[in-house]
Amino acid sequence: MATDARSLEWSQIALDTEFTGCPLTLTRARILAFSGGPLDAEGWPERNLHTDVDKAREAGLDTIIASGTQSEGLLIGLLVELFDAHWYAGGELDVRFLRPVRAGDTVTPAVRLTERIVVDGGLRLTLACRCETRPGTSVIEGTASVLLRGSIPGEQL
Amino acid sequence: MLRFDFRLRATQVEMPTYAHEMRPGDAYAPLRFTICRDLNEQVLFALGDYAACYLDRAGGRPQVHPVLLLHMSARTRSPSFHLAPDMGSVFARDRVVFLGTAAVDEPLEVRWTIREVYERKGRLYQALDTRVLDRDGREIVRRDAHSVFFTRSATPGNDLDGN
Repeated sequence: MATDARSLEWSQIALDTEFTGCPLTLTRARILAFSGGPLDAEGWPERNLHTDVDKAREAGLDTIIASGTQSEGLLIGLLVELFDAHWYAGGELDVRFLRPVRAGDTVTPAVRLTERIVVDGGLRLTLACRCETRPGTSVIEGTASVLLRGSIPGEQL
Repeated sequence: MLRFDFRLRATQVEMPTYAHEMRPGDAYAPLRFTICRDLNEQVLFALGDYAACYLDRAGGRPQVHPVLLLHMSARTRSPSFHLAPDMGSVFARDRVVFLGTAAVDEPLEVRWTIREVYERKGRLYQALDTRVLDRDGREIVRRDAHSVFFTRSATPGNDLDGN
């Protein structure tokens, strides 16, 4: 992310400002680490359509795909980086899974500030969210909402 | 504070029902689990996210990465989840509210209840209310996940997440 999240003054940030997380290539190793179960479990990795080609083919796929939750995790990581403890006090994420992510795809999370409302001495922020595998190709899209309690316009959060 | 209802749980565990047959009000058997430090760090590698709070915490245990709470609250983790032969199910939509954090080795519990069953474009969908509770029974994640069922011959092209 180009901006240091800790120095953000959300009451001053222009609407439509975008924040981008670090791109991550979902290698087979990362997909297996996420969807294969604990490394020390007997028979690791668990057989499912994220870890096993035969299981993927049974599901009508030509190869394994990453769990949508793994890409969602990259988005959540960016939101936690931006909002820290505020995120765990009612942060909401609403996403749709649009396309599968295959091994070797690079996923980039991004959020864009779309609305800012003063409520009860705090700021309610709404952000458009997405994960892309290349510019213009979203695999996840949705919205996030977070209440920055105790903040007032002009206060540095 | 929420209290566990063990009598209700015992009733739910006995339901011998395939996932696609479940109806609003039905519940999957709850899951009690803990996340150990090794599994947490395994997921940090999977996500390339090595924030200090997940690795160590002054005076306390590392925080569980929040996506692990989603990972463990997929209904496929329920002891009573069963798909019918030749049927699959994937995520279509996920709404999550984060209400707290969990620490490694903390006892946690997930509860699932079917909220809605509907059809769209000839496919069966289920909306599932999911709650992740901490060791004190406090809700730390509230989730409204929509899943779509499909047969092997009609795999959905896009909205795939093997939940």
